[in-house]
Amino acid sequence: MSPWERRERGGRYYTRSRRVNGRIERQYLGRGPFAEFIAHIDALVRQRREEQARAWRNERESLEALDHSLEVLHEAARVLTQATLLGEGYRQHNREEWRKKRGRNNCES
Amino acid sequence: MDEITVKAETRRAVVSTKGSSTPSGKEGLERSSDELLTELRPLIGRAQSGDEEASFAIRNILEEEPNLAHTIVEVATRKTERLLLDKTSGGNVLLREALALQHKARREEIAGPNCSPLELLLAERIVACRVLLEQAEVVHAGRLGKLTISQDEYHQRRVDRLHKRYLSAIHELARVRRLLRPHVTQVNLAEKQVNVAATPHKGDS
Repeated sequence: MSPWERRERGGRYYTRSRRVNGRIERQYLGRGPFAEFIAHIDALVRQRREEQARAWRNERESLEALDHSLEVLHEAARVLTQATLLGEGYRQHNREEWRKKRGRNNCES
Repeated sequence: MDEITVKAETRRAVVSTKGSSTPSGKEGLERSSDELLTELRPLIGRAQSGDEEASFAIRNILEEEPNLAHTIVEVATRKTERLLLDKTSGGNVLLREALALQHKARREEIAGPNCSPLELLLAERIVACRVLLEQAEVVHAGRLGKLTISQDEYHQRRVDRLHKRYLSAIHELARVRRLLRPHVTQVNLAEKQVNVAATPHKGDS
């Protein structure tokens, strides 16, 4: 929705819209050079906000790529550790404690 | 049993192509270690529920591929390290080299002499977690006061998550050392010190 509202009797009014309790409220700020000035300030503020949002998005993506590489390493280490312990005859009890299975050595021999 | 045999055959085929099917060789290594890990995952679940065939298959894989941990260290950890160093050095080559040396020294200090490839992998994970945790704390501290509430919460959650990972990585290495390394018991017999290799603990928490 354009912030400039055109009236039937002529002239353009600069407005600001904001959501209040789920409804959109429109604030009329006037017309002429003053309205042009406010519109320019608003455009600058909006542009700055968009730049900040873009920068934050980029930063988050870069941090997430970093965290993902650690996740890959973490998962590989977890699988290999579990496989090694299981291969050595250990079993995990209640997802916590690792215990050597009874009679394991006899089976192997 | 048939399913396991088929999987083992598939794995052998993959491993036999290692370093020869791809021009770089490195990509081949990465793929085969990934596939071996993918193959190990369901076997772990089955072995945990008492399937002896799955345990046997796991043992076979690990015996046939003793360098699997080493391969993962070479591929996954180097990638993590490269990303970490690039991010933390901010393009400064000298700082990057200094950080790489520090990273290596930390890894060697934690792994210690005569460590197994698995211990080296776990040591690498500890170092990566620590570097990433430090980076997360520095980034968060450097932006305090400039962040929105949701951005601040994101950084705080990230620091908490990495801290948890770091502690769990330390715990895992300690557990592996406790369970898989022979324990040495010192006995004094007739005023002579005798070191006896004992079996690992029955349980670990």
